[in-house]
Amino acid sequence: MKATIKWLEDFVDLSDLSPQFIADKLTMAGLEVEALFDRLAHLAQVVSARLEKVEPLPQSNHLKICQVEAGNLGRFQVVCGAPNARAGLVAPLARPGTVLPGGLTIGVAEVRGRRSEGMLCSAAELGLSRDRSGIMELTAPAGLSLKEITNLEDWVLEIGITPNRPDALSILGLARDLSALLDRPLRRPTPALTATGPEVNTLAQVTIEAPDHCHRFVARVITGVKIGPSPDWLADRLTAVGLRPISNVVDATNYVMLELGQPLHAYDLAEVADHRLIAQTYPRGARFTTLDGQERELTAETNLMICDGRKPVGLAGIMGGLNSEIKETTRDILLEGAFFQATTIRRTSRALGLSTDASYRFERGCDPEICALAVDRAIGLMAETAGGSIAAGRIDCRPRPFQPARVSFSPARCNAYLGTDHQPEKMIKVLRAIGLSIDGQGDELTCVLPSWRPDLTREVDVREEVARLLDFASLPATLPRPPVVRHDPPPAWTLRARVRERLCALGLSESITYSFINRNFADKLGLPEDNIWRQRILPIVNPLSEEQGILRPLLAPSLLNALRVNQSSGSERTALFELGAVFLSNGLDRQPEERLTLAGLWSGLSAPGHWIEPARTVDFWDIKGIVEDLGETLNLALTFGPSEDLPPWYDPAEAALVDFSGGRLGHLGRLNRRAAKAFGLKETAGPIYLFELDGQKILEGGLQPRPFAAWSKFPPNERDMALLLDKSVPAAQVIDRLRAETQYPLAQVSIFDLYQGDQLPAGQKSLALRLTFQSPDRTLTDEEVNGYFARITADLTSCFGAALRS
Amino acid sequence: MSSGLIERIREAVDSALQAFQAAPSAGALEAARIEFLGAKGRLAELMKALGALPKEERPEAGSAANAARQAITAAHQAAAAALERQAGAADLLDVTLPGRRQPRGHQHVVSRTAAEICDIFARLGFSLVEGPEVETDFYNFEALNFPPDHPARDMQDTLFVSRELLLRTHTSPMQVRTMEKTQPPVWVVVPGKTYRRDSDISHSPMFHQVEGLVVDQGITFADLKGVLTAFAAAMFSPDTQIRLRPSFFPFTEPSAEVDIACVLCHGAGCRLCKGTGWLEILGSGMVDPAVYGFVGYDPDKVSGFAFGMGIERVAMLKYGLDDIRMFYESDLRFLTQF
Repeated sequence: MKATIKWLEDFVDLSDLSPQFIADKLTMAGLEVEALFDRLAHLAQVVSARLEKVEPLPQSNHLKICQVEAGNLGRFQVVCGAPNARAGLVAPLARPGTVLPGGLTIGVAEVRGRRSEGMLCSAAELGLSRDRSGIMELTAPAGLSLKEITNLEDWVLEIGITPNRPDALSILGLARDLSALLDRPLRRPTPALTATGPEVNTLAQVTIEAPDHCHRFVARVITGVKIGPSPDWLADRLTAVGLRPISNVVDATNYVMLELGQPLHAYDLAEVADHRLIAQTYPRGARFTTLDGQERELTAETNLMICDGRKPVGLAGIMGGLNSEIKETTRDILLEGAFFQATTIRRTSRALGLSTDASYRFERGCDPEICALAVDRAIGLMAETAGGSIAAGRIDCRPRPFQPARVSFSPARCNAYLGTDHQPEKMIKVLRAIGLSIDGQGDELTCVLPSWRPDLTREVDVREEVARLLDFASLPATLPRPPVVRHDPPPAWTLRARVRERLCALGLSESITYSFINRNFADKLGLPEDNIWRQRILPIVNPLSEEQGILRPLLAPSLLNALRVNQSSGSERTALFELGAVFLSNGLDRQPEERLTLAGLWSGLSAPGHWIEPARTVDFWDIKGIVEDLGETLNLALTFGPSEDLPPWYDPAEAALVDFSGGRLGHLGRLNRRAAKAFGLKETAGPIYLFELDGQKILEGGLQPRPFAAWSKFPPNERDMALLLDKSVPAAQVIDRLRAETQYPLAQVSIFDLYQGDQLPAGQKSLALRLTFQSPDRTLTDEEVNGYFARITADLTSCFGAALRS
Repeated sequence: MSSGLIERIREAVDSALQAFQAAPSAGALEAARIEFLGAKGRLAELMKALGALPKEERPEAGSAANAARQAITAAHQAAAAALERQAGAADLLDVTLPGRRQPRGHQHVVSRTAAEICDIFARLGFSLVEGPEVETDFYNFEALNFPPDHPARDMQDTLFVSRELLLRTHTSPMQVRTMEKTQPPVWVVVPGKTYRRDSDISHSPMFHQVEGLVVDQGITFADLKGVLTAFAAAMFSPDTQIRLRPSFFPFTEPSAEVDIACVLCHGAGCRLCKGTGWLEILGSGMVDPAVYGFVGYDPDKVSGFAFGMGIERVAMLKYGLDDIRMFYESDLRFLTQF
């Protein structure tokens, strides 16, 4: 909503206040002034200049070359086409750099090879009147700014009006708040009309057939108008607040809408069949051409239309029809000022995707009591600007008369709620100033709520008015007493915090990416048709783009896109992780599964190169180490195994499924070439490794603290063993076999070498193990340990067909 | 006779000193030591010659010989130490070379800021709760007093998953979910992802909020200001001023936007605060009684306040960032700065 201070001054005295002060008052009352500017600020850059010499420009029949003198500022040469440009005249000169209303920036120009250092302006070009017949003729001396000469300013406020305040979508409404805030009287308009025409009822009729949608319909008629441009003062006010003047009759309706908040519509009475207007509903599917020339098909279930005796002539509260619009030849006007139900207008407006100044106000709620005043004000303006004869009286159909609401109000409860100490008299004063009628005694008061404030319905709403109007800034700051019981954060928060801390320590950086991805991720990853990540996709109905078309069921695609970003910026080492929800559809209108997921990606160097050790590219063991470390951090016993069930984006030679006591936890490994290519990734910097773990499963098992384990006070006894095994026997099986045996006190097993070279028989590998024996209650003798060692050897030999390598 | 011996002693000292000083290595020095101080060295020879002197000349020559031994021994030690120092210098580390470091990862600025905000509220007495990102129309709008077909819904352009389901446009649905499950006193903060159908330099279709809700007996609007004043002091700087400005949210009454004094100019007016001296950081208000109606609280017995802030907004102010889209591009040049 735009307003000018001059217009506001019609309703409340602001003459002694600075525009900034007024803007601050409004902002601090909830009417946020988003911009404040002087519409005539450019006048400071325009100077009066005396035309010393004026000669016709060769090869031009109307351009002149003028030598001008602007006092201390010097002399300039300006090319000008105005018929009244003549020597001796003092006229406004806009110098290079000046921005005129409408956005024209003045520069130094070459006109037919002659330099022109600015522009001599008409009053219209300066935004001072409509007069564009020639350059403005000044009576001032040369060298003064137009600001000094005219002393004109026109301050415009741009105010962000919240949806609860339809009353503030008008100059009157803004002025009303200012009058309350400044404790100054509000001057309400009281149009005095001279009706010279016949009784309105003899000229037109109005019927409301849909009283639930149209609570009131006021109409007046004026005959014999002459359509033409509006006078300057009116056109200027419209222009100042961003409306384009159209014609005196149409401008009058717009002017009153801005001034009083009541949208109006003027019909060409000659085009209204039977001189009758009917407010009635139309179902979906009806077609209608609005005055912008567009034929529209109604798509809302119920639409309120204004019809004449034969056909629709207006989309009620939104836009009139092309068939009855005001034309240059229009003579008789039927003016409508109605109260339409907000929801009705909103539904039709939204369904059509057609929002107008009128629908914007109706859908927020207009004042049902202002229709008559608004119609009178507009018809008066029309008589003033377009002539004609006003028909006597007005039509006023009101099948649903407005019933003001009453609420009780207690100043004491108000102070208790706000934590303030306002005096009751002050509260009552500001409430009355914004139109509440208050009666009652002491602390039990009754407020009658005004018709223009649909947002006020309860006592708490009145308290807000008190807070808002009695200096929000003075609100004290107090601390309430916190509760005794405080709860731990949810386990998911704790899990994320722990994982985040650990992964950052391990050198991975945290990434947060959009929860939505492109549906084509499934093809890029090579998911088969029956895959659950395809089947349970959750699409967004109205996405911003295809790139953000579905909610992701996996984190991997997001991390792969992140890798592409970093590859293109030349990152040598991309190590990222993300902790976030993935979404799996549970069917239409059922809340989807949101699973906390932990995923990581590592590609390029394992660490930045150092002068001691050369850089190395990351490999499978790096990514596995990360996951093993997470297992230890979260106290989960993880197992890793190859499987046919590996997701299809991995290279099966370097990938594993990850299991734990709660079942399948996730997967890790190297991205295969096909998927890398599909995501536009280069492997020149080395292979790409990923892991993705189901955090929800970890949470289902609960975050278990690791119990304390006492250590033995007796010395350990170590033995190394080199086992010759078939290559297909996984190391983990050997270790599990050793650990499963409880006959001997084996405290630790570690693998310290793996050899699978030429020195061995084909298909064999040599696994070097270090076994640490230790008893909790005594020192083991060498003989004992040798015995254990022999038994272990025998066991592994028989179990895996292994041999000791010497 | 004795003067001849003393002369020879002096000569020996001179040549020993010269030899030690000139010895280029530990081996050469040792050879020189043996030459002068060894059992059959020059000093030993001179000591032997001492015995051949007449008795009365012996004390003078003897003390000269002892002094010579001390001088030569000291010179040898000095030469040895110098050689050792010299040898050591070759092994000195160039301590200005960079040390061996583990590459470190970086926590995302949004999760870092969220944790910081939640920690401050935890200290003030709030408990942390989280909620679903895909919400029902009921929790996201209806129970927060956004009637169907109300223009207030236009304030939050929504991404829908179906007719009834949407991506939550704010963390406020957890107000309702929390009150449904618990009786007052309620003191919770809700961090989480939120979504709106909006994308430009200052709007991201996905962003993060922290919601706060306090409901108890006798909670006032002034309490809201107190809690947020304490928060701003902890989050920004201890003397940070806040300002409440009336505003509108369907689920609070009265509603207020909260501004902090500009972090750059401290209220004087600059480009960041567009000359106003204030920066908007959150929306807040007293919980609207209509919301209590949806959760079975009695508005005559309890009152409360709620607030919601954009985590990115707070981070942008704190770290001087100006493009919200950078948060989600995963560019390591951005991520590793926090």
